Amino acid sequence: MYFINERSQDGVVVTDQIFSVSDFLGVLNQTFEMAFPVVYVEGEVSGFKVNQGKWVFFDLKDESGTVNCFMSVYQLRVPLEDGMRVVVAANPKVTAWGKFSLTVQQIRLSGEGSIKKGFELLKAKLDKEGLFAPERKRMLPELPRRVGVITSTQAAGYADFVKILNSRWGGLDVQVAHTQVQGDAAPDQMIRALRYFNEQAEPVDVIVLIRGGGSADDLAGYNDEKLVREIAASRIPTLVGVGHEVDTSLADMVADVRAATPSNAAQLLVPDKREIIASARERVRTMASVAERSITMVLAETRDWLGDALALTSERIERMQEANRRQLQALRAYDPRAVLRRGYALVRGEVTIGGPLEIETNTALITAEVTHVSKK
Amino acid sequence: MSAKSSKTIAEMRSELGELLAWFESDEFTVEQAVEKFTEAEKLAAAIEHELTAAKNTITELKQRFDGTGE
Repeated sequence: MYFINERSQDGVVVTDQIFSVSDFLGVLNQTFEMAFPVVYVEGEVSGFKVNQGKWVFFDLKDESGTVNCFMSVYQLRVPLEDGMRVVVAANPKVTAWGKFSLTVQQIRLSGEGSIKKGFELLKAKLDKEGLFAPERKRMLPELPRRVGVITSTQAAGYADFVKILNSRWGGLDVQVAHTQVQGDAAPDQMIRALRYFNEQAEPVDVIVLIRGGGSADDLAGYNDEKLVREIAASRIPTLVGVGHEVDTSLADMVADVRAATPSNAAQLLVPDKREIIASARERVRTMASVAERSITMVLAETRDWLGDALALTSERIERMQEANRRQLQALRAYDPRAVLRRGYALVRGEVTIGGPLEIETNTALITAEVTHVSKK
Repeated sequence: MSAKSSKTIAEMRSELGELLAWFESDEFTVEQAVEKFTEAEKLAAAIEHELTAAKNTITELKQRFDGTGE
């Protein structure tokens, strides 16, 4: 509401608007809203403080100016400290007390030093909570059948991932959630996609977050605290492959499995079918070799047994032959012809005077008569 | 075995592993070896066939994640 004040200036009637203070502030805020629906301001944080655990206050300054900033703790997605360089997306406003401030909607770290500092602060905080603990890590399924991918389908990293995936394995049901992978909106989009996959009645076996390389600023979304916590809370195992090998994000660190690149994510996700085929063939070869070895052993054993049986039989025959020989020798010793050959003679007949005797030598049979018998 | 198997590749690999274990175990008998070996050959062929023939199905979800609606 305002009053009209008419006055004369150089003979011309001039109409001035006279506002109440609150109306003036209202009009001022409307003007700001029309002129700057959202304003992006970059500066250095100073006087950072959190009141009642809910409200965040700080000043944004540069070499020659300072502006007050205000936001809710809920909107603060990055760790903040005095001296850090940030870009805020804000609505300029004048409060009921006439104090000008920026009501911050979003804030992101700016400049390598601040991004690095923010990364380290958040890393330490999450590490203290145990989010990166090795015992939290789950194994990925050896052969997943259903895979959820969160990425930008326009990104080169995604094309690399698909190429490697298709060359290594087949039969996968891959569902791709297209999201931004950089910029202020990226973390929330990826969070929504993570929730989508986690809320499905028939969930995927693994969720893969991938993005190709970029500057620290490009990859900053993967250091967003809410996104990192959402990955940690996923009931489905997660695989994160962001940037190049040298890039490390908090999303990498909190994931169940970290891949160095999107291509590496595909390699870690599925085995190489050529290796599996070779392994199956090798298994069959091993079986053939085991079977062949076993059959050879059975044959060798059988041969050995036959050999042993033959040897035992021969030995027994020899022993019997030897015994026969000895018996024959013994029998020969009792052969009376042998005694005759040594010069003795065999006398048959009755030993009575005048009785006939037959004397057998080795070479002759002699007939004789007993003429005398005397006792020895 | 060229026909599409109703078993998954993981199941077939597992069965092949079990067969190999049998061949290396004390349960091995020459009498059963031929039958088991034939089974293993079929499994290996089926794995190869499945892996060579199967293509991935890649679907981009219609769901929007930019907060503007489902």
